[in-house]
Amino acid sequence: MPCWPILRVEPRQLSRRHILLVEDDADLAQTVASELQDRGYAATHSADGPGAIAAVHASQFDLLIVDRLLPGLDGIALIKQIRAESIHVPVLVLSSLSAVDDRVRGLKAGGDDYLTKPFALDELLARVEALLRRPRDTRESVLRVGELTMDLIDRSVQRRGRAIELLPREFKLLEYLMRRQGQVVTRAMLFEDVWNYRFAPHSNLVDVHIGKLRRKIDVAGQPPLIESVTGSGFILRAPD
Amino acid sequence: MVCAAFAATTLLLFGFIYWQTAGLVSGRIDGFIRHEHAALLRESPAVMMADVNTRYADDLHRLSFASIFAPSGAPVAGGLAALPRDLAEDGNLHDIEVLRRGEQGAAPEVARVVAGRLADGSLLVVGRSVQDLTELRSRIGRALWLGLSPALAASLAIGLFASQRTIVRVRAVNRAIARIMQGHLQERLPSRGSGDALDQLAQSCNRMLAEIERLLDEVKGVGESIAHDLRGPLTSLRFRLETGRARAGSQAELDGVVAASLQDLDQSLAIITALLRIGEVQADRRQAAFHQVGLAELLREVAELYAPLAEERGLTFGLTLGAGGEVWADRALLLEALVNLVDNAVKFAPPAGTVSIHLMWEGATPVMRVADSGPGIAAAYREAVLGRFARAPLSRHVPGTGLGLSLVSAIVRRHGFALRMSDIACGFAVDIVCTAPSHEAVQQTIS
Repeated sequence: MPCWPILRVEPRQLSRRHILLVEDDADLAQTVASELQDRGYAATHSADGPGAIAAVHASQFDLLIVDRLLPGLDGIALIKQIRAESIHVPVLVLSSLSAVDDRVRGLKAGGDDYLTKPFALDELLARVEALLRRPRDTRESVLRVGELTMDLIDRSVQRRGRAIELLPREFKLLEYLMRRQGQVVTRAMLFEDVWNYRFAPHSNLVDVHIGKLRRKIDVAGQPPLIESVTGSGFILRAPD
Repeated sequence: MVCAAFAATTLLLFGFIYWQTAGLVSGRIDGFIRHEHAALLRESPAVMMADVNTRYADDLHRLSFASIFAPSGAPVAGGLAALPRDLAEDGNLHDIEVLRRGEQGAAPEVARVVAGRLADGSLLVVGRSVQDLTELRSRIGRALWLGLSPALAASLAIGLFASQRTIVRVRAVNRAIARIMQGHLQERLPSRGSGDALDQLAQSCNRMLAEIERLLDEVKGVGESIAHDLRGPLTSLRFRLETGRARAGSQAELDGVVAASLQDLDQSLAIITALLRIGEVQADRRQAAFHQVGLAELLREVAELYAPLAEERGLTFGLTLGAGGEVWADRALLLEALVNLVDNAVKFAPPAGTVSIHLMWEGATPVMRVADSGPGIAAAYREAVLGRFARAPLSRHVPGTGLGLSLVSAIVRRHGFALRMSDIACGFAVDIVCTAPSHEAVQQTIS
């Protein structure tokens, strides 16, 4: 059983978060639901749109995972209806439709993130976590992780008082990681959010950029701030 | 239908001719009679009497006549033997039967007549025989009828013939459609090449059928190539799991098998994603996302993305920007194409090799070049890798889906640009030739 670092770090914060999974593929739903439960979430499954609406009315959820193509009421209509009722729960849309248009439609309807099938479970879990722990208050002007500080106003980065020169993209990458400290971010999330690309990287491009960033922010004799999480992505956190 | 319209038009035309000819003649006769009547009325009674008599004497053809009748109705002078029976004394022209002097035994003839009382109560009757007019009418009528009948008959015959031919052709088209609906998609509607309306329609339908057939082939091609491309990795995955279950002696070995299997699966999923992406790019013809895109800035972004990777692999990475240019393009798509090209270049360049990106001009045409010092693609396979889902055999053993160039090709075609591969002094180059840099040109190419 691979160890999920987040649980180890802050188990209480994530415990018993309630997730509604709306998915008509019974096998997939079963796998995802049991994986979510293994990770400490409470998961409720609904196989169609009307059932999901009823569930949303019956209890309060912290997150909805909604398949786009559902019998009865499709995922987009479901999200629209929930949003029309002023229910602001975060929604992760799952879809086998990968076209940019479909993605835009899913997000426009009120979805907060969009994941195309097939996906790795780790990718799904990373996004679930990201949605449950929305980035910190954006009004903050200085981000801090351990001894690393990022001043968003004069766009400077320091570690132990030493100024670190970053290229604009490196700055954006580090900012993204710092806003999600202690949280796994996947390569696809970085590619989508830092580079704004909608296509998957072929080579280990993201790893190389992370490596470059690591060399700039790490200090000899200190543990690295950015860790790789096998099979999923990266995590930035203050050394223990 | 056309024949009926033609026949009706002919009938109308002939009716018009008849009406115009007969009408003109009778109009002239009426005018003449009125004029004579008026002229006689202007004379004194004595002169009128003499005139009427002279007219009778001079009228050898027995055409027109003038007569004066006493108030009692007895003929006084002129060509009529007796006061006509239905005479109306209203000064208007009427068709009535008259009897001429000296022809008492004969049948009365029809004449156009005008009658009016004189001051002394006697009656002045002026008229003209319309026997000739009647004859003229009947002749015109006969002539028209003789001409009209064959015309009508001919038009009906031609109409029947033409409609029969049309029916035959429509039946042939219907038969062809029935066969196409049965699944014979290579079937085409019959066309004689005459260029008439039915032919043009058949040709349009045939063009549509060809396009449908091509699209169906494409769909079939996508399905087949997905099946083909997946069989490899899935078979190897199966072997790996099979042998892993049988031979793995420790948890660590089993973990190794699982990790390798996951990689195989990811490879398979990446192939599916890539194939679907190519299909998506090919199928989408909209231009909603097209804008003027600055090429220099685009290439700079790609270079920035790949420079660290090239550096890590010990490659010399270069970016050469000539004069900047703009093209009408979908920026995200063009970027995706360039990323694929540079990704390939970095992947295939030999250790300590070079990868370079250039923005060049060939006349007024901007060319984006991605070059590397690797072996490139053998000339024999260059065409093939641009094709829909074909790949060079070599690339099957290199990580990745091997579909990058097919996607690039689809994106380039979508823009109306050209993709060119060539051997250059230091290796191999792939060029995106932006042959249609203007908005209008792209639209033309795409439509």
